[in-house]
Amino acid sequence: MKIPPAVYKAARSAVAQLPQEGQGPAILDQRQAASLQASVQKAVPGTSDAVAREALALALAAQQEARGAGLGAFTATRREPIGELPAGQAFSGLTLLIAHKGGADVVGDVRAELEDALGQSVASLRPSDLASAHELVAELNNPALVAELDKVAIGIVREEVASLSALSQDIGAMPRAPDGRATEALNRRYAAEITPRVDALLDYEETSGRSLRQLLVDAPPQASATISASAKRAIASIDKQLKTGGSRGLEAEVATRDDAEMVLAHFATKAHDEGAPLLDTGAMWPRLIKDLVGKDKSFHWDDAFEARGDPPVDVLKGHYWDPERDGGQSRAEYHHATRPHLQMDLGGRLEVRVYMPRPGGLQDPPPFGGSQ
Amino acid sequence: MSDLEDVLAGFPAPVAARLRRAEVVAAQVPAAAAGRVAFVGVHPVGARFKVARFEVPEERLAFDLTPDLLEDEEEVDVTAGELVAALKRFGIAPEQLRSPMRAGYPV
Repeated sequence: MKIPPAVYKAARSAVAQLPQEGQGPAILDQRQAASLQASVQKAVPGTSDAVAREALALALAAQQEARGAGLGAFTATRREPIGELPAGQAFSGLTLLIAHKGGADVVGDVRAELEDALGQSVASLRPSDLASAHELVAELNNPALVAELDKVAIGIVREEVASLSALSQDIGAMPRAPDGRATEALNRRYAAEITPRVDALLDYEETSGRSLRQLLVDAPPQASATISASAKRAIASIDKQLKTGGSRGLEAEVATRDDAEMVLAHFATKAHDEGAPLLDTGAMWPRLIKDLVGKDKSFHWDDAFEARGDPPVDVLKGHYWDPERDGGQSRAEYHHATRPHLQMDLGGRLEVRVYMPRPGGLQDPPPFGGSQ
Repeated sequence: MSDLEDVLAGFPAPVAARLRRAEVVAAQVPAAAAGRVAFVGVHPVGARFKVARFEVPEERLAFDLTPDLLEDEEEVDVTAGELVAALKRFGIAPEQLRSPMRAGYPV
């Protein structure tokens, strides 16, 4: 069941006629509900009872948010397109407590205008709707509406990326070949469940000109007021390697995770000050990082181990590990797969790995250079 | 108009937008040998660009690739004014560039 834009618009108009006096909540009785439904059906002849009721429920919810009553939870949990709500459920919205705050403010007006333009409530927008919604609103040549949609889009994008990140980890945790190679089953799941959703976000990025990465960056980092000797040595070592140039894979060592946090705070603050903040991609499986936001100017922690091979050896999850390869593994490959580290991708394909000691209690591989 | 804007005027809008925001763009290009795939990536760094070309055996795309698993890498570090020439050197035109995922860029 779809709600045509004209029906939703009629519902918005009908709901706008509700009395707004007083600050307290108001309850719609059955007579008022029937009257609203009749208004919608009069404005758009042929509208079924169910469609009219559903449109009214959404219009009421949108009005409630526009008036500042807050619709955070609704926005966060509702992702169904308007037409896919279970019939009857939506109409229960007419018995909701409607918090009338007395007069829509400017923000509320813009939100209502945006919803009129879209022909649907912003709460019903899905990530895959964002690109076309942006195109539609941009055609109206009204910067206030574009700004309002941008504001709405941030929440939708962040929620979608959080969901994709969790899903990518789930898929990334599927069994792999002993050398870390993704299996066919893993690739199929990724292509079916992740790729179309990433595509939708990229469509929005390309249509709107807004950067997904910029929508995801959080508050600026806080550099540590005090810094340990181990962290200081690591920062100095990385700075020296950066000045020397020539290598894309820089390494440093610290004694503890806290030391590594201090190193991260130092470089994240610097990146932020230079206008290209580091994005925390720790919640994403590596393939999603590359697909969605790119590795440049990001950081993540690689510190989760999994057993691979026979006899089993604990190596970092998802990392390339092929000791039987002709010619053997390089020292860098060996360390990368076996030692927990902070990875900072500082831009221009420059990777910095800050290695921490390998925890005790793991199934260790033979030392590098031995019979791996 | 700045040097960068002059150059980006010749790029597709989404690609120009990404480069303006210092984000990577890439393209898949013909590889030198059968069984391999090749890519060109443009990585903005400050006011400059690192343009890289590399090849990867097809079966290795099934790994989470790191730079040490790439082959026949070439990289040039260029200014905005030199960007189009660098792309040409690697055999691609600006309109072939896309966001990394859409190019299948693996690193």
